[in-house]
Amino acid sequence: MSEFVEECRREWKRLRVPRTIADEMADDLTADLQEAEADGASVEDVLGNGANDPRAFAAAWASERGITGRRASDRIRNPPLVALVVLAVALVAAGSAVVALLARSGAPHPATLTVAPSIIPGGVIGTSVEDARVAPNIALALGRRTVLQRRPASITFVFANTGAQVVAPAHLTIQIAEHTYRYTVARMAPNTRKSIRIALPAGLPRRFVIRASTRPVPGETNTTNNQAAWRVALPA
Amino acid sequence: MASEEQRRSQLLRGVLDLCLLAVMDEGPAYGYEMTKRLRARGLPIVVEGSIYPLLGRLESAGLVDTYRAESDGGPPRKYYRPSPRGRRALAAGVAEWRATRDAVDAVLGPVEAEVYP
Repeated sequence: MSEFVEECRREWKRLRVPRTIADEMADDLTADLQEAEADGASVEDVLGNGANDPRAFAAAWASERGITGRRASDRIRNPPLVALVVLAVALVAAGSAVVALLARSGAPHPATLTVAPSIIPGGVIGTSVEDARVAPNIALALGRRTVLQRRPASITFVFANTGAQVVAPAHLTIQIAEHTYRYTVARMAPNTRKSIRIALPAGLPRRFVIRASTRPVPGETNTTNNQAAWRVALPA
Repeated sequence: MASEEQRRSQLLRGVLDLCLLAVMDEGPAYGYEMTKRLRARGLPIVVEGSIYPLLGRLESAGLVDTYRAESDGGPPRKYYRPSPRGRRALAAGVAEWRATRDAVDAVLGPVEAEVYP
């Protein structure tokens, strides 16, 4: 059983599933399999055909959750008609959700994020920047420039809170070249996502950088994934 | 002709999302709990495969709300319940299923079947 879960972990790591989300999935799977074992049920009873191929199972699960974007950077070399740039930003915490978004431009500044007292005890606490995507749903490359074949009409930002804490409020900062956008999410429930689309600003240089960052929430231990940057080149 | 297991799998594949929404609509449930509820109704998941990818799809589609809470004497679990949008999808899906079922019954109903073990 533990070997099955570890094999899933390895696959999620290979697919660059964010650590916090992979931990959550592994914990859920472990708890379910342990309960099944106590019931006298087999792994096959819980996972069906997936029990025979942990890597395929793990990949399917992550794919359906939409959290395997990093691998798509390999596909950007031959992109189809590119229309959008999508940034995915995950804020990990817990609760139920009411969201208000305020966007305005201004000078670059750090994002802020505060977390309300715990409603559900325990669980994962943390924020992360997930990935950046180009339509149709292709992840931008981290660490190297992505050359777009068409100028994107807009940028879609996706926020996610997959932790066990309500985030209220959550603030995110995104920079597109010299343009800075602030978003305030009044309250985010656990495991919820919110999307925002912004028209790509005019006057961008041919080459520019998109940055996204969140301020670590109190109690967050893994802060390595709280910011990300993607280099983008528009067509000549 | 598809084998018995293949046909059952194909039939279930089209409605398993509705089945999951239905059992979690009875009360929030975590993954294995849903498997047990389905099995209690004679729907072993083994013919289709794992429910986890499908739960992930429902989640990313905004059809379920989730939260993490302690289970009975166990570790914290991720509980699923239909979102308002999920409930609407469930209602529409059930209506569609019943219409399809009735239409198929109208065709297959007169056929006399004899099944040998």
